[in-house]
Amino acid sequence: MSTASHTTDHATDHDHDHGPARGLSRWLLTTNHKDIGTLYLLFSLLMFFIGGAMALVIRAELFQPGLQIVDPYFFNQMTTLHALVMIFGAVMPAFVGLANWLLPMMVGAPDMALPRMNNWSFWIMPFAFTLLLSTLFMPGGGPAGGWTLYPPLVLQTGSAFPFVILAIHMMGASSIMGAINIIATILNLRAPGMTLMKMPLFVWTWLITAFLLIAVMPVLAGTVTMLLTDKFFGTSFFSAAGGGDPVMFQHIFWFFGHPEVYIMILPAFGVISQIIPTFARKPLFGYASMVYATASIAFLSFIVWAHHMFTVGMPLAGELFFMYATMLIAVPTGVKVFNWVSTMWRGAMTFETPMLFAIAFVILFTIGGFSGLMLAIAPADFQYQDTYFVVAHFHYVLVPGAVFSIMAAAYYWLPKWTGHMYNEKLGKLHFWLSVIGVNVLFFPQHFLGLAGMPRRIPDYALQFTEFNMVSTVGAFLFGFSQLFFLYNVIQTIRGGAKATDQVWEGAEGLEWTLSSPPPYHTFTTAPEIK
Amino acid sequence: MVAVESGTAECQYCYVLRPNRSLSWRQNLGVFGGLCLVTLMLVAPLVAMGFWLVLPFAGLELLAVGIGLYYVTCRCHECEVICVAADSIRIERGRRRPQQSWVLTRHWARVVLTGCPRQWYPSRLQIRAQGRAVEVGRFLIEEERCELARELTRCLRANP
Repeated sequence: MSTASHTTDHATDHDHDHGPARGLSRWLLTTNHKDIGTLYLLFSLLMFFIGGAMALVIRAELFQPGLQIVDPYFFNQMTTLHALVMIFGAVMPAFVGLANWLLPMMVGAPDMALPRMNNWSFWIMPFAFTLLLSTLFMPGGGPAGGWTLYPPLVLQTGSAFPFVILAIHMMGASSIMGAINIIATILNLRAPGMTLMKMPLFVWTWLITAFLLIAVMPVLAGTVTMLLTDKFFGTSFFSAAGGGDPVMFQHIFWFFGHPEVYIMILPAFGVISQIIPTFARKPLFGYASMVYATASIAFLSFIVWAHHMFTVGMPLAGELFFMYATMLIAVPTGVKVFNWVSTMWRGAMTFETPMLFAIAFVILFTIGGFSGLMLAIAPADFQYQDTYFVVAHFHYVLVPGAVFSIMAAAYYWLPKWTGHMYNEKLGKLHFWLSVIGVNVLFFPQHFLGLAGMPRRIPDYALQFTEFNMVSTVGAFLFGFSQLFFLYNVIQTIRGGAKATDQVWEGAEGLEWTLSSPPPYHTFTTAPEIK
Repeated sequence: MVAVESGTAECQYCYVLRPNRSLSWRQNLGVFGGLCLVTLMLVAPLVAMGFWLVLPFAGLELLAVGIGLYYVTCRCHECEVICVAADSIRIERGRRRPQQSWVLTRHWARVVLTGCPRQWYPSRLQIRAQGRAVEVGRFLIEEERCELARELTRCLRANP
């Protein structure tokens, strides 16, 4: 006597009668990669607005010389927290959110390899940032020594200091858990036929980024803990009075810090490498060289740290080494830019919002790269060091670089995630206001830096007034234009024209073979790898 | 993945179930070893210079990486063998060798595929007999699990 029961029909029902339970517990307890990806992305958006508001406080104060709005100490807290929030709260979680949403779908896996750890790694973040932001209300205020936390200055922080260190530890733990999950997923859960050299570029760039995270995070954790013991337990790791070396902190910090820069930009390279072929309707030019270039950049990121500190004093041989090693990074980066341009060359291009952001990325990131090359020249760096030229350089890399790539990714995959098309007109308006705003904001800062205006000051000499006014106008234009993005995202989540499964005519990859939005549990049938 | 092996004297139908995996034990070990090597190469000079507090964090992190990779690799190397004989069904589960096994009476056996109506969780496939139930194929994708359910039902209906 043998019978079979089958209580539901799984072969139909992928579009409507499925999905998670409603309520807060779904988001608190979820182990689903799509839910966690959404949480990361929304958290990142919130942090983007908080960090952005801090930037507007900074720019408002700098609109004209003199002290108008905030006192200098609060200004320094704003510069410090703006950086920490944007780096660890906005850019990194946004890329982790993209990784969560996309990596399993791109490699043909049902979910991330360690789903519970995925939940923990997200839910650490809100607590870490609540702790960090709460320091603004503590006796002595928040950290004001810059995000680089250089001693002995940072050791003057008031009651906030141990809380800042704990918050950094929590962010680090979250990043490490995310990296472990990404490595385990990409290496172990690829669908049959998905060899390493068939993986989409976004997967490759995240795999390399995850290895970078694993390599450098203990260095950050150890370094900030040594700051803590120097302040509270009488050690002298970085205290000259006790036989320590404060300059050594800078070496160790930047040994973490420079790979961190690439942690924020390599996934952006992956995003752009997905978007440009879609809208050029051509396969990516030089796939293998893109992979090797990414790996080369990751390797070189470990041997260039001292270019951040040419002026602290080091042997000539050291300066030459770090100068040439830094310049060497231009080679693999140039390979990437060449490949993106070659992919567009004679392509059947269309200019939807994600493509506009991707093209702006290529042009403006290259400008940031060139100013980086200028800074790499050790004798010239003595002129630029700690001026607004440096501020302009890294903001060109991080805003039209990392942030534009995140926006491009949001517009590109939003129809897949929500099942609705976004408002294209609003998207283009957002793009043009952003691209104009970001250039008005940051380009004059090159001139300010070359003219000698130091960074991290709330007041300045009269001759810098005009460019600062222009920069502030650009800041407010860029800042408020992000409200269009927020409105567009909310509108798309709530409804809109139905998106097709492929969404974009030229899109290729496993994620586009799924329905829009994809089923809660991905890949009920075996994915077919071409 | 489900592999059907040809019948033997004591096993009329044999189904071998394995989850999809794209990296072997040895390759995972290589990845972990590589990560340890690189991390220690980066950390060792700092420790030698007296900045020893980096070491415990590196150790903790590598421990977490090791546990994570070990757990995933173990799950990816699970194997279930369903052997349908004339009078019995033997189900074995393990990694390198059977670690758990069940024997059910074939004549009382039923194949039950249950799925949450809202698909909040994946479906579950059980072989039930005389009040006992053994779940199989938890790691399979939906299509494979449904196909296995059909195949097992067909095989149980066939004359022993």
